[in-house]
Amino acid sequence: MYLLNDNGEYAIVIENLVKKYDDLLAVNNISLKIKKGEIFAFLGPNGAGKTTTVEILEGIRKKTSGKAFVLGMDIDKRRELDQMKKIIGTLPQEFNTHLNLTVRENLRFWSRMYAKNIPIDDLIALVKLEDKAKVRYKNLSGGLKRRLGIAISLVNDPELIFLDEPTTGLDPRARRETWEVIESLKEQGKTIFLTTHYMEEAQILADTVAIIHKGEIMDIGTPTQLIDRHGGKNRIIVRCNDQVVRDQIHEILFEFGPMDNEDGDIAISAKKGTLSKVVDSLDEKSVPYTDIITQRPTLEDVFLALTGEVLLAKTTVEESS
Amino acid sequence: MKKIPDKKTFFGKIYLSLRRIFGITSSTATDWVRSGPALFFTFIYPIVMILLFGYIFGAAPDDSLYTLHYYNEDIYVVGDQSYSFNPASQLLLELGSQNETIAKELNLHIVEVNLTGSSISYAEWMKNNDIPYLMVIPSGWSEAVNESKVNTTAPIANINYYYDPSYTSSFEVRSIIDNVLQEMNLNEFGISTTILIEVEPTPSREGLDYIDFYVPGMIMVTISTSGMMGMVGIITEQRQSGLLYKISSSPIKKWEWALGQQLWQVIMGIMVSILTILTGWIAFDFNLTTLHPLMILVIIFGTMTFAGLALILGRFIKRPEAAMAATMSIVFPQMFLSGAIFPAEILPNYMQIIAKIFPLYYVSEAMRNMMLESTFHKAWIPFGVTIAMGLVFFILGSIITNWRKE
Repeated sequence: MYLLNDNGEYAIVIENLVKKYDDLLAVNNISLKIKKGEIFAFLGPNGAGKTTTVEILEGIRKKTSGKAFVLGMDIDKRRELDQMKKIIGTLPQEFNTHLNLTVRENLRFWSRMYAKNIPIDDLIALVKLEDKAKVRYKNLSGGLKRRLGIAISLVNDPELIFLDEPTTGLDPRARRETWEVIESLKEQGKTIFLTTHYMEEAQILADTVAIIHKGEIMDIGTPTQLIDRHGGKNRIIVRCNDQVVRDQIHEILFEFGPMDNEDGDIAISAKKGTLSKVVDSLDEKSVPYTDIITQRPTLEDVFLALTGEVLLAKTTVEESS
Repeated sequence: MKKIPDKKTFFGKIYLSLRRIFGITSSTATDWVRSGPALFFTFIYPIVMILLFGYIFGAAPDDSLYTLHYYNEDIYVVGDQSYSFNPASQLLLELGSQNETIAKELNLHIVEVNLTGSSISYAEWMKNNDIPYLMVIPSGWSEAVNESKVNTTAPIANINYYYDPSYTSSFEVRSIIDNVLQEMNLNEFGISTTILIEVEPTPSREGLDYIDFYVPGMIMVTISTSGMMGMVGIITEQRQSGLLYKISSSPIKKWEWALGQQLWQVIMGIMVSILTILTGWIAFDFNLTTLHPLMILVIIFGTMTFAGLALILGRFIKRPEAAMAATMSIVFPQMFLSGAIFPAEILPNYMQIIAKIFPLYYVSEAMRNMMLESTFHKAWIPFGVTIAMGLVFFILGSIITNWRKE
């Protein structure tokens, strides 16, 4: 048991949290600690139990068993839960606000719910909605709605912000802009609990990532730690578009160890110095390959290694740029 | 950074609560005002209701004359002229067609048709011409009447009345004909009328029309309908859109949210009441002097009753589509059984007992009895029940309504 032995170091402490719906175990005995000031990402596919966990922590869904402390407050105690709601910010997965109110009016409405408020103009500037301040919520695009959602989650200048799938359904540009806002929040010292099924999002934004699958946490660590532990080695991929060339490459690279065929390309595990040796060998025999690249393992590989399944929702850095 | 001063003090807490409550009220109001269809239907509903029921039940008699078609087979023809063979049949026809005053009194307008030589039956003719009732004076009827005057054993002289039973007015028209025939019987045999009923309203109700009693009931019907449907709609829609859960993750308390929503329903209730009264006044000359200041409390607590009931209902209905059907299943029986539109006294005994289950019964009774000095003393019990219901349903609604996920 490590509950409350944190000297205020942790924003969230969860111990043996369980949520059951009849026979379905949505959250299966999870325990974790999230440090103050970090971006923590819950990475997993839809239905993994991410949103259920967040909603329990936010106090809008009852848990079956276990303990949870948010900013040192026990969510089982009514008075502490009420106190906790004053200093957290939330962006639900299915975020919505008053459809016929403008951006500014919506922010004013949510500001009235809290004793402590950030000036509305500052919030509008933070999420770059200055030119949309007088536009009604229902007329905003998906990306702008999410940005307003983030601004609303900040009206009370919260210490901890829950962002549940903040970029789902957004186009690459809107996603990139949302990431920038989240990064700026971290710079302000906020703790961010982020749920996502986009591995790039977790990899780029998060200090700590927990891989969740079927209600269970498979592993927790920094993206680098997780990749080192489960991602395997770097890979060298030789690209070609001719079967004769492919056979030639196979013959030459045989000495470097086992090879995988990836969509017609040939991949081998990379050790130190392997890349230059591979290039030399291919050049020596004048093999007309198309391209040669090195690839670091990603959280996708980590997820595959931990669960045996592919994390389907992908967004690539190329797509986002 | 803006901060509420002294938020931990009693007055600081009160300030915060009021800020949240009015925040909920004003945002719901703005959202509603800007959603065109909701605005239109909320205001058009009471106007349609008051006009519809006002015209059905409150229209002047001269506006609703029944048209009776008749065919007189009992005609004696001489050359080019045809005339009634007997003064008796002549009198019957004059009653309706020539004496306008009597026709108005009887609500009957008579139109002669000539079906001589028609190859189809009377029933078929009525069907083809969409005629609900037809009176036929058979050939020789006058002679039969004369015969019965001198011979008491002579057969009864009948006229024929054909009617479509799907028209409820056909029974009323028959009753009018019966009355006329009865009068004729008395006249024919020289019997004068000696006993009559004289109709006069009680002094306290003098000068008041049906509409004056109908408007207060209609106000409460409209408030109960729009209050319940509006509130259930808000809960289910906000739950479905996720807004309710977002609100529940903020520090606002459930009772503050409920009170904010109810406050808006009360404002709506007052607006709808004013609209109903104005429509009644403009269209039917509703007597404004019957309004009592205490009625505003009935409207406020009545609205709280129905909104509280809606909060309870919203606890069990998850989707907006189901909300409409479920609310209707309460609103409609309540509307017709509670005495708000029809007097509860005309209902069978067991239905009158059922009527008293509905909150609308007490609210309407309070409103109606407050209108007149002579009945004001009877308003206190339903008024007290209305206040109690408003408080109880508000508290229950605030407790029972659920904004956490299950």
